[in-house]
Amino acid sequence: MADHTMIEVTQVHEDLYARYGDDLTRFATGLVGPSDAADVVSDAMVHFWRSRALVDADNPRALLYRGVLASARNLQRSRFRRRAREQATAQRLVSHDPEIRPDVVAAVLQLSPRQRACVFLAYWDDLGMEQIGELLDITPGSVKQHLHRARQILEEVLDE
Amino acid sequence: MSERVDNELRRVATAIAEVSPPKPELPRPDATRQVPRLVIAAASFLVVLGLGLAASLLFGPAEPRASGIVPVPEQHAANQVLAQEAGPSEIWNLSVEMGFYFACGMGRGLESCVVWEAGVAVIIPYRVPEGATAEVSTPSHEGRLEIPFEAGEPIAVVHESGPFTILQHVPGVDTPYSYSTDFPPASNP
Repeated sequence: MADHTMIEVTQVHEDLYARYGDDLTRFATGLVGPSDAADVVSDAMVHFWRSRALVDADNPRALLYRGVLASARNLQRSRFRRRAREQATAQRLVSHDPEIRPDVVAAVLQLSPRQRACVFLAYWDDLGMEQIGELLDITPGSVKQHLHRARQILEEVLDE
Repeated sequence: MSERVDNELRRVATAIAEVSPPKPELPRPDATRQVPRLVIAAASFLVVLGLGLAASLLFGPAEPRASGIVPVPEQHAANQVLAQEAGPSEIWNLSVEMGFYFACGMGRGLESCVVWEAGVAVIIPYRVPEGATAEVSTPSHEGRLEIPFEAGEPIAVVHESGPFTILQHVPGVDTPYSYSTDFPPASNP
């Protein structure tokens, strides 16, 4: 890895964050809800500062998404806070759009972080499986499986 | 898959995007975000030590153990404090349940980790059959600990394939401990 001055590193981070920060925060919201999204993004960016991995990355956008996903997964490992967080997220979503079914929201919030990531990127960003796979560093086949599983779960909820 | 499923998912994804907060300010290299974690880790460790000392004062000393191991009440049949030193790729792991101090460490790449919470037991998606026991052997102490987990209670397991090693840096003890379980790990949900 080439040596970079702090000024260069700072510039790279600022440029990338200006370009992708909003998308990353929306992505983080999809993973952990609105209350913790900012923390997840911040944690990921702190990690990138330390590692300087973004500076020479071939695909910094993908790296950023993976960093946010990793940060979200760390957060999700705490079950005690997760329940409270998901309840708050569910209430927030239902309040925002009263036509959203609470059981659908609950089902989505039960998905694993990776499944949620695939759902959000497919249904909000309208990305294809290859693009999602590239962002999350998983195969398109895995993306397909995650989406299939998410749809299956929703199908069961909607059939009840 | 049905169109209605896609519509519902799209609706939820849209709502998520719309309730998303503004992006946070870009943290800088001198960001203090690490400090809260260190403060939490240090505070939690002090809580654990304090609880251990209180227990030893209340219930008297247990049989001699390797240096750095804090005894807990005998009725809990567990009496080990395993301090795990966190490295840059590791996470502090400590679970405090039922007066029993159980800690294990893990390295990068392992999925089953016990994430440090400020003095609170944490989560692992594994299930333990009732009456599960664990054996602990150390350079200076061998024995069988009865860990009174409730059926279905989550327990920290470091490695999916069963026996795992806890590398620890208990003061006065230099060699790694070996910790084996005699129950099969459940599948990770």
